[in-house]
Amino acid sequence: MTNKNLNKQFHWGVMMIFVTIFQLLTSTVTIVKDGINVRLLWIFIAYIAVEWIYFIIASAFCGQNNFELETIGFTFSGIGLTVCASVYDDYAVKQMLSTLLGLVLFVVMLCVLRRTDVVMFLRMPVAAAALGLLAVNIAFAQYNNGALNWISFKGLSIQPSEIVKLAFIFVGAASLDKLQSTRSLTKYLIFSFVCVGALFYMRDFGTALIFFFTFIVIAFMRSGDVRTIGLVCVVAALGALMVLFFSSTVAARFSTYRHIWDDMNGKGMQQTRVLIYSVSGGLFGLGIGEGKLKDVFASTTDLVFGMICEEWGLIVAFTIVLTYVFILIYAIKVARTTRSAFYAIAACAAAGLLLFQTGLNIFGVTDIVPLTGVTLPFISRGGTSIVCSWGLLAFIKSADIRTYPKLSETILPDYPLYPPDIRIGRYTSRRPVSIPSVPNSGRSSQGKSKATPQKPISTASVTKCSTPNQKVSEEEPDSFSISKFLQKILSKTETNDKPDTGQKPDTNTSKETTAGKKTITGKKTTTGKKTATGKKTGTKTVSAASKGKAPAKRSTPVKKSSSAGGKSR
Amino acid sequence: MNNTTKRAYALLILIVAFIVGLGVMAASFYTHGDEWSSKLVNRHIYSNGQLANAGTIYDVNNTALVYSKNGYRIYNSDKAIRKATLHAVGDNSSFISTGVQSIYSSRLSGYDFVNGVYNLKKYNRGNDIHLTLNAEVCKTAYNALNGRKGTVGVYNYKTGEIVCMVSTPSYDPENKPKNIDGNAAYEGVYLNRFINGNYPPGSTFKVVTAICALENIPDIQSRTFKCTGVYKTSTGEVKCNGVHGTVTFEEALNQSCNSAFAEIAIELGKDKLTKTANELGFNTSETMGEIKLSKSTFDVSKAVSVDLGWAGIGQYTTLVNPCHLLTIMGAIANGGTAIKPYFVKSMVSPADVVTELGKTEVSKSITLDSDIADTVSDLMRSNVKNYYGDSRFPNLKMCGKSGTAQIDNGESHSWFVGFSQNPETPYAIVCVVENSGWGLKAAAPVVNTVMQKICKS
Repeated sequence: MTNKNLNKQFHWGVMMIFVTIFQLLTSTVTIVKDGINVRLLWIFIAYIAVEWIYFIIASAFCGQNNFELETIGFTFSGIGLTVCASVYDDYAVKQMLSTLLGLVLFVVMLCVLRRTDVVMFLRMPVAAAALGLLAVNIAFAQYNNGALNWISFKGLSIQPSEIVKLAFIFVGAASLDKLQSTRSLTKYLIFSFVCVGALFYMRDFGTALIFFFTFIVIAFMRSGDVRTIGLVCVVAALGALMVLFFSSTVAARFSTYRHIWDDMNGKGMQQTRVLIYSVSGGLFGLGIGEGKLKDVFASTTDLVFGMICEEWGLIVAFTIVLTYVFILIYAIKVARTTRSAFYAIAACAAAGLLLFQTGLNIFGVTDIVPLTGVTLPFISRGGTSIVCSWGLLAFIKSADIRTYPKLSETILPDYPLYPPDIRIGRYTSRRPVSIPSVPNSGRSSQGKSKATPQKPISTASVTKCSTPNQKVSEEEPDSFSISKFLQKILSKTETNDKPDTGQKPDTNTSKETTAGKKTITGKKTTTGKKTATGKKTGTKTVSAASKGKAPAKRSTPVKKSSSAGGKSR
Repeated sequence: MNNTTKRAYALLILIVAFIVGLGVMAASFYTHGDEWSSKLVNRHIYSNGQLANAGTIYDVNNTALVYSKNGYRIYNSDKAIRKATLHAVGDNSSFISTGVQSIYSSRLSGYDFVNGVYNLKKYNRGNDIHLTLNAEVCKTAYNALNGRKGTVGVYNYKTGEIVCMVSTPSYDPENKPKNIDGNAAYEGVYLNRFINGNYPPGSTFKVVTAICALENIPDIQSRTFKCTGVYKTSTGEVKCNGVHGTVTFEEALNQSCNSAFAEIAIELGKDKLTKTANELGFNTSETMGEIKLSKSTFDVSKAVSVDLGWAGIGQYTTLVNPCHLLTIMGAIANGGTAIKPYFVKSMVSPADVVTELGKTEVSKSITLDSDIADTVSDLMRSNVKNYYGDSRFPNLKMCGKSGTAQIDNGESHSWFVGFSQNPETPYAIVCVVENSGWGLKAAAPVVNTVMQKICKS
């Protein structure tokens, strides 16, 4: 471990101490409010202990030195826990356990997300599980505040739509990562449609909106094209149709929007109370547990922002919500250096979802946008919401290259079956030589991925398993007419990445030609830049080759593509 | 890959939108904080629908009109004072929307944007508010109205301080009658008639017509008018309250001769009357501190000649707000400079920080030439001296104009407006006694009682 790392860990240790001090201060207020509440005392001790155990294990044994997200997650969860504790002891117990569960999910997801092949493998099962969960939800759910989005099981109620959020991003980022696979795109479209449709059926419009937004983010990040927006509009139109279908419910929901004071003891009750008590708190708040909003229905769930404003003050409340902005900026920043587009898309979608949901929540309860009844991530009371928030955090953290410091050393033995194909980013140092059975697998750089000669492994397994790499499955035959239609819609996108659509490679050997053509004829900026990346990676590969581990063969096409890239500039 | 990550920057749109939303939220918190925090359902300030913990409201002599104790609002111990100051102070539940407890509830509760209602919780009381009212004078006025509906307002026309503001019917806030709703005896009980009342001005409007005549007819004071008990026009006739024979302008005002003023009004015409009325603040919304006064209206755009005659003597469609008429009196008394009336003087925080809430301010909606003001002042002095009799208002050097406003059904409203020319008692007064007939009969004694009380205190 270098000095720099040690410094960083010291830095994060100090940060953790600050977080702990903050939590000690805030929790003490709650604990000693009516005499010393021993139960709450233990809850907070346990919570702080969990934080430190995680921190020590992660930093000392897993070589982690990026704790931005965990710090935020711990702080927010702690605030949520304190809010719960200030209202009702039992809430705090559940909240504490949920946070613990969330942390476990976070760690598990980080482990899963580390391996792109596992991600690709899990894609379909996760999608199926998500749909199954929604089906179970619809079958067994009970109406709760006009929405059908809860399942109760032996006194334990969960909100499946929250869990499906994670699956939605997981499946979306993994599927759309393979650009030209129109079939997988179609599948994802159907998946999205079913999810959003199910949420509409459950009258959970807030979550449906969040899913739709996430879909737009994922689709846009994948295609980046005006035509995609057209595609999105088609989906939006379908959504609008569904809204029309449920128009009476929607109309009732929206009737109070901007008219909350007209019916301040009826439909506008929650928003008016949030506004009244938020301003009553002033900039510095009235003190934890001193508020009156806590007596209003859903104060610790949907209206928790108002409680924070009232009891903790506007400064704390605005700092919290601005932190969600920071998370998104962080995600955008780390997305630039991910190993695979999967991570970039997943991180941005997750962070975008967090901010979008935060916006829906806080602007909903303050009557700036219509109230949709979604939770404030991390802080709102509710087990599933907390767990899901931590899961989303895992997507973002997995995109940070610092998260998997030992990846280059440990990854090789894990991949005995699949060809090496995750080397898209410039930080991967995995070497193709490791798989002797694939002598010519030269897809180490993006620019020349198409040039990969056929491997001994079957095409099917390649396309399925190999790939954050975007070009691989291009040749997947599309037999469905809907796929053709979608391909048409997306044709511009495809041309961006693949100038000559007409010249589809039909045999594996002709791929090289196509790739060559691409790099040479593709004078579009995008192509040029792609090859520029190829150049960088190529250089790396060359240096790897110079160490004698890569077959000399490989370096030639790399050079070709990089020189082409140079030309196109 | 590069493209993908570049596209991530599209999410900046979301960030911008989010921050704009936060800006909107912060701005609305800042601008509406007062209003929102003082909503009846804010349980920091109200408990059981009652203003529970708030500052004390004092009158000019530091008599507590209402204060908080153990989460309850306690009103002054004198029942008559409670009733007399009810509309100024306001009730617990903001039924009286123009009361201090409604309008200034956020200040009484100690709300401010930075601290919210923290000071209320810390000191268990909010800011105190000091009024310019004199509770004893209000009590006198309330008693003088003697159960009749109406309003009395008195203010210092040099400083703008309202000394007395009473509106009846009223009730005892400590013991609110249960049958108050839908009860004819309590009609408009939550209305402060001084601030929100709009009455036909009756003969008091002749002052406005006189001002218009003085502005537009140079020889008006040397002219004579013939009154036969009725003034005939091509479209109808205006009845007079008597047969005055040949009268001068001054005598016409003294005796409130309808024939003469109908003639003058028709001679002046719509445009000049409207212009003068507008210059005197008719058809203009005015405020008193944070309270909106109801607007006096004068509209003769559709009037035929007889209507104009009626309008000139304060009937037709004209409506006047008592506070507005009082301000016009103030303008006449004060040499043409109208000082805006106010009754909320200052706010004192628990930490003894004094904030001024009302001060002497010249009204922008009333303009009056100083010579004409002095002339009208003398004419009104003549009313009292030569016609009503100084014996009605001893030692006051009173100027005034009575009014008997006919209404569609029921007995006329009795008006008296005026002011004292004494430099020691620079007070203007307005008094309306509803359905009580002739102005001098009902309103003038109330005016004298109140003015005498003010002189003594």
